[in-house]
Amino acid sequence: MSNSEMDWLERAQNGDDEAFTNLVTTYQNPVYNLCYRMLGDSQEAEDAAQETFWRAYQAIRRYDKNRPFATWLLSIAAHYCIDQQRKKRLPILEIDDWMEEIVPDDSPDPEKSASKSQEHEMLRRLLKSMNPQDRGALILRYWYEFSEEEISHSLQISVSAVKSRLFRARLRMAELWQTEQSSFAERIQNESPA
Amino acid sequence: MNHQRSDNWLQDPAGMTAEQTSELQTHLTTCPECSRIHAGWQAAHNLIHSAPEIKAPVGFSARFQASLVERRKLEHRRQARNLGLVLVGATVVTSILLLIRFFTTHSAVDVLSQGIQFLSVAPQRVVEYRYIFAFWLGEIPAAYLIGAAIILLSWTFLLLAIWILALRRIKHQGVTQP
Repeated sequence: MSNSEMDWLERAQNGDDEAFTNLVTTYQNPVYNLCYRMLGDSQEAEDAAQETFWRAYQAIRRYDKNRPFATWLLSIAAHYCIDQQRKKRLPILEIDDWMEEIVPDDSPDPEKSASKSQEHEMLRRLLKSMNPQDRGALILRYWYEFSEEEISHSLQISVSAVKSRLFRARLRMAELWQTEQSSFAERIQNESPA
Repeated sequence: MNHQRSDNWLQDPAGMTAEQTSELQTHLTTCPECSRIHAGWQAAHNLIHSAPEIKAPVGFSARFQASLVERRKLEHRRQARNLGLVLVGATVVTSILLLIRFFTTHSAVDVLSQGIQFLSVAPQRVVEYRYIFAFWLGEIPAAYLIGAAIILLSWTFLLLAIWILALRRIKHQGVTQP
């Protein structure tokens, strides 16, 4: 955390709204990214990210400075997204749609584009296949490089529960990846002229 | 070697020693199931690493700043409403508890007869109390009475003002967290 961020944090804790807005600007991308990975819809992700910052704003005086600010903020976002998914029981939606919008298509090669799109569709299905808590643990571990202890602290579950969730998520992803690959190969075989 | 090494790897892919990794590689060459899972996770892991960070939409922080005033107002209203509900709830619960206690220690017949008795002697009691009150008022010097009235009214106004200001503050600024 930079000195200016420390200063904003201290000022925000003393009720300075401008300082808090600076923190929002600094951390909007990681928070939004987490919400997007968890929810898979741009509007829901924006609402969740806004709600995350509002909750952080309300709780900023209780923030423990010994803990990294990003970890604290992402914990709030992960909790909120898990709760939202539990409430609505929504599946991950059309990640491939936003992938098409946000991933710059720097290659004009249609074969390469098709392959990228297929990979993103695969990622969508892999994430969709998990329950929200497993997905949350996996995203925090591999997108944000949280340690198991940090995930445990963030999701308020034990370290052994984190290990078991990550194991289950990896196994599920590995199995599904192979299944998807097999079905894709079969489709190609069926589509090719005899 | 059995599938245990493969499971250990999947539990903690980065935490294996060189010797354990070598054992795992040997096992993978002879076990198609573990090899399949291993390759699946490696591919999924690579996909996660290649996925880009999604940027927040343009104007995100400006929208947050704009919504802050409205959110704060709503939160303060919610806190004031909750405080009101707590006070009303506490009053209702206390009243119910007092009524329950009263009716468990007094029979309805007793309450009725005492009520009738009270009503029948009430006019006489009012006359007596008015006489006593007038007698003592006549005995106390007027200056003392005025002083006592001023003190009593001051405290009443002070407490009322504190109460009204506290409610107004909660409504406009909310409950500040320590």
